[in-house]
Amino acid sequence: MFNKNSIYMCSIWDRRKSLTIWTVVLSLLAMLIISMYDSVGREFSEIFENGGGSFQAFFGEEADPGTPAGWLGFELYGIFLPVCLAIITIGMGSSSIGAEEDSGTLELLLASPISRSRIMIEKSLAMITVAFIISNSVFLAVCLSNILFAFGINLIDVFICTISLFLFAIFFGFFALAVQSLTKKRNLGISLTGFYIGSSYFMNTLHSIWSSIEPMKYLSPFYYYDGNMILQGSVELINLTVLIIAISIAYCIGHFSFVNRDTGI
Amino acid sequence: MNSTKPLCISEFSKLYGELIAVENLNLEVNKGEIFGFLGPNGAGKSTTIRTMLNFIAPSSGDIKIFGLDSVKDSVRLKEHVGYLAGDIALYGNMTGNQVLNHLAYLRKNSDWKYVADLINRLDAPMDRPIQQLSKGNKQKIGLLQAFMHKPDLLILDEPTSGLDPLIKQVFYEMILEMKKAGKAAFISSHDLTEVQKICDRAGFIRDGKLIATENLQDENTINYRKYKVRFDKIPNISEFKKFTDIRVISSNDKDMIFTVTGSIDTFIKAIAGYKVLDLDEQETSLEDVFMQYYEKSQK
Repeated sequence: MFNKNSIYMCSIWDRRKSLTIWTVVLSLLAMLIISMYDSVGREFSEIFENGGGSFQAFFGEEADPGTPAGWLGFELYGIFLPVCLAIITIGMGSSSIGAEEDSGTLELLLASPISRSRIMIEKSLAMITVAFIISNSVFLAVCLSNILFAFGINLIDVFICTISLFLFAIFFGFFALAVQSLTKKRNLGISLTGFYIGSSYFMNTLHSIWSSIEPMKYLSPFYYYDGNMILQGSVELINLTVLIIAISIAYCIGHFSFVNRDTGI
Repeated sequence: MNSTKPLCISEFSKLYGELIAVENLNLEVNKGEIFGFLGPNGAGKSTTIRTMLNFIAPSSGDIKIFGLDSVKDSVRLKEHVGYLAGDIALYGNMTGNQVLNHLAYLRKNSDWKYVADLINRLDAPMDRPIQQLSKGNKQKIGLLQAFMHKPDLLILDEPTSGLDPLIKQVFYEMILEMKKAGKAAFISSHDLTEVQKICDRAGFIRDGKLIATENLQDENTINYRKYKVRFDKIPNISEFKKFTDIRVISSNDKDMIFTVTGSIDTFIKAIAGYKVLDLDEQETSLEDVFMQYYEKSQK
């Protein structure tokens, strides 16, 4: 599988430019954000406190930027990084099979003596690898910045948050993959998953304002990711477990629907 | 190597809801045989090919390649198959060499000396990205990836599409070399001249049904002739309607063109009642033969 001509390596190689750009940009951004804590963190804290219930609910009530953990959650791990990473994995998930099916190159693979399962597994592992590289590059940037700028964040909490972020992104990637596998439509995979991620964010954050939607928070992957709480030192293993189960279900749906359906070429 | 037939299609049907794409198709291809598969657009040719390779599953019936089922043994049978799609799609950002290396890795058996020879003969550009190549050059790469592992069965959909006449000739040589080596080929094509040139047998499909299979190497089995007759005084077309094997396909002031599928003696006697100035046998194309079978199937 690690041969440069394997499906896995070709899938990663195809994304080498975007992978490099995302890794570098997000890592530098993380360092920039941490460097700004001393100068603007407290001002943001005042804005946050004075913002009111709706404002605080939108960013997550624990994301008080006046502390290093709160600052990192407010600026990076609360919304921004999860959405960025999910955009990447949604794109990869819907395109893994979808792009090749639309372009016709899937025929080249399917005409070779390899199983559809193997195609799906290698493509999925490529997506997991990309998400792993980006999320951990940001973590390493935070570790470096912690030293350079004497940030004072608990790196174990950041590491656990990185794991949760990684699982969160993988879930959305496999969700997009499952939608594409079921429908043979790459664009539907992207749009439906995009809608889900947007609506699930609001399901999770706005229930403190509208109590009627509180039960819906359990349908939101953001609820189980909860980067702000993890950075504050509060990790719920059950949440990580739920994410892993959700990933498994989404992957299985995508895998078995692709293996058993007619390909749209 | 399994000694059973390279291709055996048995009672194969494919339905898309209520639409019947292919209906009760039965055909076989023998070792060392080149089989042409002809039909108009939408006849079911591509559906049949896609089912052979398990891109889509049959609704009923089965397809076996060297005794291996197209669905259950899909991975194993592809070790013996080389495939070229009708509208070849390759990885645009890869070069020809990269595409072949990628596919060779997946197939695990390629004869690189043979590939080098084919590259030379086809004059294929191997170092430029696929997206920069013309249709004809992409087709060359497509042929290379189909032939590179010297498969026992070639399944080719419009193999000479976009190729210039010189390269077409190279392709014909490649196919005949494979035939001499005992390999088989299943070629779907619209180029009737080409099928007539290289195929041993041809199957005609229309509206999902195989309407005829003909041995192309034996002219006597193609009982179809076309004659141009010049008359001194052109007879009435209705005079020939009583003959079921004689049909007037065109007529002007002096000439009539007939197709004759039955006894030539009957035809000669039919026109002998008129003053015939000239009689000329016209070249019969496969299209003419095909139309004959199509019209018969319509009755």
